[in-house]
Amino acid sequence: MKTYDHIVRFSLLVIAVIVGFFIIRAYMLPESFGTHGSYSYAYYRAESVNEQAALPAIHQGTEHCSACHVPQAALLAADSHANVNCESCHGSFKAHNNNTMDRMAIADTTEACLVCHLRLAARPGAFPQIDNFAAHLADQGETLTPDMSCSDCHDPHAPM
Amino acid sequence: MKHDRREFIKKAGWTFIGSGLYINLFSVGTSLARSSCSDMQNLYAFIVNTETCIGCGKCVAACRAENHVPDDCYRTWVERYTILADGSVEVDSPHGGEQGFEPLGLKQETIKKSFFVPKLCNQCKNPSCVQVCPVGATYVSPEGFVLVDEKRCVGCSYCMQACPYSARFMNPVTHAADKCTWCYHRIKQGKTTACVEACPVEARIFGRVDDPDGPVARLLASKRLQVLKPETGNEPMVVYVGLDKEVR
Repeated sequence: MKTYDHIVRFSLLVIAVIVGFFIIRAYMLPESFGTHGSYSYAYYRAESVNEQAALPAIHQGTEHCSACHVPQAALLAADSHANVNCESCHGSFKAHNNNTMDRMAIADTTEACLVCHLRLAARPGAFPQIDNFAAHLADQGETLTPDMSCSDCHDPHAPM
Repeated sequence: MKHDRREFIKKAGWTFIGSGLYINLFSVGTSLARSSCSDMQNLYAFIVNTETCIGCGKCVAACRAENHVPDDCYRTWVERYTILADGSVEVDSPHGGEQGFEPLGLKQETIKKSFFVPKLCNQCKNPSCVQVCPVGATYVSPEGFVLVDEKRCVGCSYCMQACPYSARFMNPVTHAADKCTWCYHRIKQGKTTACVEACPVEARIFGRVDDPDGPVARLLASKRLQVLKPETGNEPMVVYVGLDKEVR
């Protein structure tokens, strides 16, 4: 028997390491971790899916705003800005939504309008664009004065 | 040592039992079976129409607000491709296009054509980013969304290197890999993605593939479509209308 002692000792050591590995692994792994369909693509902590699904939506959309702001919504829906989301000009909805009644930002400066309506070679030709504010005013028979902005002539909710 | 038939059959028997135990214990058999016919499905697709995009960057801003994307990081961004008369291609995306674009200051006749290409995570059918993750921190959800478990991510950035579309970044706040989720939380709440909602020209369309009356299925059936880098075999689920050969 003596001749096999070193093999037995070594085998016990190997078994101890393997058992130890599985014990530590069991403690280290989160509860829902494992394969959920395939080892290639679905080897994950299942609880993570629920955590992500539970995140609150921040962007609310025009429909949500329309519930209170009826006249503005009606103007918007009937005109060429119907597809422009409220939050695109008024900023993210969240602060307002939490019943703080914080006033929303209003981007009605000429610069804000030109983000969409400045003439660029990359924009589709049919989209309404102007080369610059002064040239557009000249086209309309007006002259530029320092305090003028797009909203003097165009209602941002119903620009046409 | 004897070498007879009886001994051979005995050893063969033990080997058979042993390997059977091995396969069962480590569930090699079941995992192989699963990876070939998994229960994940790609239920959604995202269509980007480069022909209508005006490069206003409202999608980028909406995404930032919705997903708390830190400054100088982008889950979605808009690129401007300018193909010059001499055939050279210029691509720019200042601040991801979030504040719009300025004219390039080129003469009209030097520009052959120019267009905007919005980009985002392609939510691939065969996502290479998921395959390389060593800790199971990124995965495909049962609906086919490629998601990141920020609590499990160790920040090794292998996934960033594996993504052929450079859609991933290291989030400086969470110190985990981050990317577009197709607004998974909003979809689960029955809404559409923030960028789709913010787009004023319907350049972004999102919806179920299997709904025959939905906008996605209709476009998939009627338009000529292309995906980015089809040669990678990733099978992206973001498809483009009007994608030019210069776009990478």
